[in-house]
Amino acid sequence: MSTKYQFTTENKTWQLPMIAGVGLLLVSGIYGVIAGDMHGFWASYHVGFLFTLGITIGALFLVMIMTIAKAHWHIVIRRFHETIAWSFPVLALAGLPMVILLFTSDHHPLFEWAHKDVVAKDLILQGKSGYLNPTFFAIRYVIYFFVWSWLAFRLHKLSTQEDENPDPSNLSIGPLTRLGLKLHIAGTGEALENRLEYFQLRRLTSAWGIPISALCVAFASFDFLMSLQPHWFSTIFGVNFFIGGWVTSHAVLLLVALYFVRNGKLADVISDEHFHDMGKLMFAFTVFWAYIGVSQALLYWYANLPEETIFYKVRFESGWLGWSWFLLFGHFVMPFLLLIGRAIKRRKEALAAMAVWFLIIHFADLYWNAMPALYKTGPHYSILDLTCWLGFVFFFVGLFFYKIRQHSLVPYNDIYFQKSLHFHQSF
Amino acid sequence: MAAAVKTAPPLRFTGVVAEFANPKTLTDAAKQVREAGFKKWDCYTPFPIHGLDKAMGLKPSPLGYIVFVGGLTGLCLALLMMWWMNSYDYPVSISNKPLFSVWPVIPVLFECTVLFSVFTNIGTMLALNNLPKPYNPLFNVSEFARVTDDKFFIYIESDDEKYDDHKTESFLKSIGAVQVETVPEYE
Repeated sequence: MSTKYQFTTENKTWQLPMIAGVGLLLVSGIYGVIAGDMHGFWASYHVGFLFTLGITIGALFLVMIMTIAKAHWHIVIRRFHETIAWSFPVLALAGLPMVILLFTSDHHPLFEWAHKDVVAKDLILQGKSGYLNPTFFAIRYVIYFFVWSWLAFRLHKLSTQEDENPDPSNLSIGPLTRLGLKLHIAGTGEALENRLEYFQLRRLTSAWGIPISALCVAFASFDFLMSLQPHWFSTIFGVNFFIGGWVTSHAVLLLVALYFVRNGKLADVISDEHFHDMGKLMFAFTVFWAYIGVSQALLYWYANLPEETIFYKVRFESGWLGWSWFLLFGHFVMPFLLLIGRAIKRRKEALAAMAVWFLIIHFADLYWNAMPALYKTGPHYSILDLTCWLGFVFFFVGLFFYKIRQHSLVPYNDIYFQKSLHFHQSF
Repeated sequence: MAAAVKTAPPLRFTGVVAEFANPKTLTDAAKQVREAGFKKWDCYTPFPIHGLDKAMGLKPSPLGYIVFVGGLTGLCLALLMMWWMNSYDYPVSISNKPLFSVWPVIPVLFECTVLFSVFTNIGTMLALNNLPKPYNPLFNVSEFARVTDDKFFIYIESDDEKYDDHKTESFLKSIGAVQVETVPEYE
């Protein structure tokens, strides 16, 4: 096993952020109890949870899409995304209180549709109770995290196995998968060469993984975020949540890559060419975020249905108007103008500054989506918003470093690894 | 090629063209031509070569900035058009919505921005590349036909200040040219 790409570090590199994260979340919870603001605590906790969930989902999808598109440039940074996606089961635990509270509390702090007295007086919520009820919610919660975790673990395992043992005869796959793999290789007309099996198996997993987990993301965004305002609905909302997470996932990847370039570990592996592509993707998806936002607003404007327009009424005609403007400029206009040029995408430090900005603005985006459901007249700022968010960020940074040490930083046995090293922009 | 059968003596020579065997020698030669201080010269290859632009010392293209201005023009014109049509020239009230609102206009703004950007892009790209260019004295060199196949060329114009018939030829040979030809121009 090659040690050239092995990241060795003291245990405190991952222990300290993890302890800080758990500590911040605990302190926030205690503060919530003492100040009698459990409502506020759970809301802030929820935003922090969704923030990390979006990034993790983005990471999983990037691995799958780059794999299925045979993107060579992405290989040198693939392990980072695989490692981020590996944290799905921990996220499932982090979101568990939200589900447990559905069964233990009559007044769930987040979900109005779980309040029996409210539903009894509300025809619309009664109509939706076939979908929005605690039992079905819990079942869906399990399905989502099972699908995501399974895919993330499988892709991570196939990738790390190839590092340590590139001989495909050691692949432990079932007869059905082996048959699928054979059909897939026959269908694509590519010879069953040495080690192509790993490559094709990852592609096969991604091929069916993308549609299934995309459905999970869409419904998860309906459940976790859209159902905070249970009367309101938007069919495009899944994409909206998804894209916010994607942009941030690119930003996180960029910061991680810069960290390993700076500490010299991957200085001769990840070049400006790779950073250029990460910058392009950040730019593309922040524009796509605006595109989806406009699509939703445009259709609401034409249809003018009260159940739909309530979303913008709360956000445009109350104390939230300032946030809306801030998001428009901070998530679209400013990044668009800054990132459109070529020069900035070839300056790592400038890109890193933009990446940090995207982390902040994505938090602001989720805050703007979630909080007005609870505070309809205007923002209700609390220190808990910050501590819960940072708690989640610290904890998952720690988890990332915990996992990244266990394997090589790059999949150096990938058949296209050399191509990825010598990647060049075509213009 | 028709040019190859010309019998009349050429009017003048517009420069020298040097043939190189592969992208590597071409890139190395391009670097030396640039370092020798030539200004009016160019490389001709059958396919794009990575790093050649750096070796030649080409500046980044101004195309992006021009396209940005073009797109911005499209955006403003579309905004003006939509406002003028909907609320000034022919105002029609539909389901009591305001005559002018930014939401329904955004797709038009977007499309017009793209349209103007694309036209500016194509037009400016052609202009910056001096295209279309139906005639080039290089066509008079019969070996040059293989530039679309498997040969790599550097062409130095005689208008260049540093240009000197024999010196330039021997210089090109010294940096690895397989053969060097003068480029004639006929009536």
